[in-house]
Amino acid sequence: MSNQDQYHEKIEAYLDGELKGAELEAFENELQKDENLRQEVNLHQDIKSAALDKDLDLFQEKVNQVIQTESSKAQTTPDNSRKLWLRMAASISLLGVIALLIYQFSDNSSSKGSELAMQFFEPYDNIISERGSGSQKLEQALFAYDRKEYSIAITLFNEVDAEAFPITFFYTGLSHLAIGESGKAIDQLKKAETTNPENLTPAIHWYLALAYLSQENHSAGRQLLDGLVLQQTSYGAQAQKLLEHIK
Amino acid sequence: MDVHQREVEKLLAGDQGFITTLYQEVFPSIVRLIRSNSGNDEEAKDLFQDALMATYKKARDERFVLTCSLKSFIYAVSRNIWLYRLRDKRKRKDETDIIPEDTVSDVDIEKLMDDYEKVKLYKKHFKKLTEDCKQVLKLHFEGNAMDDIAIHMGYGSKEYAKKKKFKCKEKLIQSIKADPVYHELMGGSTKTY
Repeated sequence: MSNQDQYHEKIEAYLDGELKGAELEAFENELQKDENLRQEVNLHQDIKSAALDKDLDLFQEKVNQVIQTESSKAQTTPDNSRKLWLRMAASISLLGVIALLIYQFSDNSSSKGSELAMQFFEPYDNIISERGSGSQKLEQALFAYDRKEYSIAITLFNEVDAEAFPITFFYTGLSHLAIGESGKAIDQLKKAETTNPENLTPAIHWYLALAYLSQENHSAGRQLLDGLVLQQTSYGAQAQKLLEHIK
Repeated sequence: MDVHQREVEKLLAGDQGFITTLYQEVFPSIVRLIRSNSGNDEEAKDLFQDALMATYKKARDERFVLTCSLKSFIYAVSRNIWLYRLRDKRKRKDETDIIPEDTVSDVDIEKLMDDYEKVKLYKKHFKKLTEDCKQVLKLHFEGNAMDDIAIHMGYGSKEYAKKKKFKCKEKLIQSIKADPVYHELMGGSTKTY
């Protein structure tokens, strides 16, 4: 072992509380005298604090999200020279939208699935954190989920080992659904359906139905809702109500 | 609680609406400052993020008292960090053109900046470690016993876990010390152990 290794080992032993008696005393004496050694011990301690500072990571996620959102808004804000053309284009688009709406009403084909899904969507309670999940990453993700910071929650859920903590699929799906990413929500909820964590099948089917409706896939949504009514689950009444809206 | 302290509370709560307001009110000034001092808009975004992070880190200290508006404070921090980076890049021609002397707060901005740059540096190198190393060190930092770490990581013995922890930490420290930013932050007075 090199001298450098021995020095590191001594610092490690000191920080881990393994030095005792005369050895400890000798090290502390040296620490008082040697500025470089103090700096080295401080470095070890600072590295530890930095690695454990999760709040700072979470805050950084939030700041990043604001910067990205605001930057993309700025990029889509037209400059003055283009405003007139854009106004004209907007007027033409508006006429198009009005024409489309008239067509849809006259055709009487409902495309209200996504609106209904949003009306009926309520985030499922975080049933995990209170009793402890056993995963620090999952706890952080659920913390963001509880605060309705779904994009951050998704980023953090993606860092969780979902195979080890299958409930992650369920809450990731819900977070996607909450921000209108119904395709991703369906993927995650199907994984949750397969693993069935916490016996959540009725809840999984309810949110899957909402995700299908968001995609205007009424038949898939209706099938799940019918199941919830027929099996007299706790979602039966809500499912019945939603079915009536779809009809 | 005064108005400045209420702003600090919002920052500490990570209130995204408040962060957005700060961005909308402070960022344009930062862009102006950076564009007129050898920088571009991407650098301005990084700078805004770092200034906010440094302020957040400092604001967690109970002794942190703000005697100006948070907007002014973040602008001052941004300006100082930019100056520091210009010095790094050897772009700076005349410091006094960039930073007119004004006192925005009793807080030692230079120390605040250094503290944050250190954390940023340590986190950067920690992220570069292998997944195994990150996991072992995290478990160790969280205070888990070597026996438990060995079981969690599927290592054969606690001796192996200890050796692994030692090697990972050594690698991390070497990587940090090889970074020129580390020497800048330590004032160039580091002896290698």
